[in-house]
Amino acid sequence: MANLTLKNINKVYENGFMAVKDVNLEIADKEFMIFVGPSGCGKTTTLRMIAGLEEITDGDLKIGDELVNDIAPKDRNIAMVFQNYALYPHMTVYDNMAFGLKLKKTPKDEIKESINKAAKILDIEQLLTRKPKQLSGGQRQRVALGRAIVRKPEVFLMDEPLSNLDAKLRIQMRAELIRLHSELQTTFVYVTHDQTEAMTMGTRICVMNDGIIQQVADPKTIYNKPANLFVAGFIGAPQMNFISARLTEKDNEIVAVIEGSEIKLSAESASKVKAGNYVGKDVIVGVRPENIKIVGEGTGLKVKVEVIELLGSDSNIYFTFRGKQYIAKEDGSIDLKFGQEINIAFDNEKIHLFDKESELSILL
Amino acid sequence: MNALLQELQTILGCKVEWIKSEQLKPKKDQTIINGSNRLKILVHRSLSQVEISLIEKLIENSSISYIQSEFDILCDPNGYKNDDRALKYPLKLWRILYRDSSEEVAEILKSSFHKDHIINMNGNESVVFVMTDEITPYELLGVLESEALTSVRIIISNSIARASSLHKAYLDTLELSELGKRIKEKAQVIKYEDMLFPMFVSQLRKANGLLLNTNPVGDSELEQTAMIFLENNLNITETANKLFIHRNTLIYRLNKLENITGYDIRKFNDAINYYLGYLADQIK
Ligand SMILES: Nc1ncnc2c1ncn2[C@@H]1O[C@H](COP(=O)(O)OP(=O)(O)OP(=O)(O)O)[C@@H](O)[C@H]1O
Ligand SMILES: [Mg+2]
Repeated sequence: MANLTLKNINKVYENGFMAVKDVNLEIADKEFMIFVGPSGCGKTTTLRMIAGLEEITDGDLKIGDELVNDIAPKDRNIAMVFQNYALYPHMTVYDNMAFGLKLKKTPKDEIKESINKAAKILDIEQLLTRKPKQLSGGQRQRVALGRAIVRKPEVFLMDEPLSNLDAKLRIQMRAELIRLHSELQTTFVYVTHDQTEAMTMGTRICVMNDGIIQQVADPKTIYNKPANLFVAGFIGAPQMNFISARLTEKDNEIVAVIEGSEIKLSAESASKVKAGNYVGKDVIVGVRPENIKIVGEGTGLKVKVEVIELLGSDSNIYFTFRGKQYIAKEDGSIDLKFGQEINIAFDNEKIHLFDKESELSILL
Repeated sequence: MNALLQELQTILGCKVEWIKSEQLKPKKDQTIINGSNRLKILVHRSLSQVEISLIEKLIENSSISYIQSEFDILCDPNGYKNDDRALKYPLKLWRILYRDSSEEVAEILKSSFHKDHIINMNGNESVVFVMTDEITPYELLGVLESEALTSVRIIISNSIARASSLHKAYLDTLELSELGKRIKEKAQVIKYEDMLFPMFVSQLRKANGLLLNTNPVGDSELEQTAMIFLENNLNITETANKLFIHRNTLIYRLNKLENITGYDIRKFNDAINYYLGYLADQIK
């Protein structure tokens, strides 16, 4: 059993910089947990504290039921995989994988068994006698994973392990890692700054910014119910559109008024707005590009097409409204011209509302 | 092999060598004798107390310049000052610091470099004479941290071509390590070539020749934004993307920095002035 508990974890570096602020997180046994966020938000620092490579300034870290703050990394039963990882050029793949076990004085036949098993899972059995020079980038990354697997850790800690691979290989390795996780049935903690990677791989995602956890949830919830403006903007490509609006009550319904144009809120949203006392207040409306539709003249908002990005099955339409740029995602077959005026409407079931001050979602 | 060791081997009739690790424990049939200048001598047989005292006397009487080990080159400020011989190959010193020493660390180093090029300074530090680029410091860091499970820093000197520069290069790595902690935040790998400005400011400071009047920013978020802006070649878009902030937010912060410091770091000259002031402020 290797569930992880982070309780009120803080990290202050030697130069006084506070990189992680009061992090509270439960990672369940066998979970695939992703840390995602912009550069410098504290992902690596948090992972290194779990590994024991970085001291915890304040707070408790438990692996299983054991408090491990003062336990050496070696005794935490973890394995790490990094972006930069060397294989020894003069050793075969087999010896590269055996290296750590030999140092641990593991018996020879046990080493052999572990390596054969790992090689099978990673589909590198036919490569065991090769030297690293004879391997492709993806194969090398598998060997690196193999080195971690043969340690038989309770927790895998990975820090952007795919970021050195080219785009095609990265997508392929993502799928591999998902499969690996389900085969190994072990806890994975995985750091990335890439929101697509986060959304496709994790069973849960922990979004961080500025050393603070913004939201922890499964990918669907993160996408459909972002807890605040930051999460809403960070997850999703192209980015969510934001626009100011005033919420008012009209004929027993709540509408968001954007520059004189009204959007009726769903009944569920309306009740949240009322409960939160937001009627009559200015808020930020968020709408994802795919939830903006082109409508007939005389309805919706009149906007001007600026750029059309043809992506095959979809097109991204960039348009301006009152001097600000927004993006709509439409069908690939849509026929629009630069400078053309169109009318658009937001899917009112899918709009998000955020408090102007706290930037927290009003709809949760 | 140097003369002192040769002499001892003749007298004792067994293998005798310098050892650099302060941690090494003698095996059965081995004796360790304290040499001068942090060096120890490993004798490959057991010795009587009388023999030990005699050898200690002998070492005491041999002059320091008599001792020629790489360890000594690094640590003795005078021994090689005037040794202007060119090295066979230009090399860099990698000073590798690890929190916990272990057999794993030693084995990884031995597998990564020629064993004669590794000097164990003490239980938490090794210096390697590196001549090839077979392994990058980042890769070595990755292997050490994930296989030996200890936190590691690697500090790399400039390229050295003469024996006389070795000691200076080692001192540089000591200084780089301290400087790196203060100004380069993700300081796990520190290279001399990336640290010229900080070294320069630090040396001027030491010579008391630098009296810059700076306005400390006093806002770590703002300072960090400025550093990332500098690291991204004063490029607004790239910096904003990196930090995942809107470019207007970045511009707002840069304006705020200008109000505090008087420098508009979007301009090259101001950027340099700000950076020097920032360094002078950090390196006290
Ligand atoms: N040794 C250190 N000393 C001081 N500050 C540090 C140190 N290491 C990291 N930091 C700072 O702590 C913050 C968090 O760093 P961390 O490496 O955890 O970020 P990250 O989320 O992994 O970012 P990235 O995506 O760039 O890898 C950053 O602002 C960084 O500059
Ligand atoms: Mg990181």
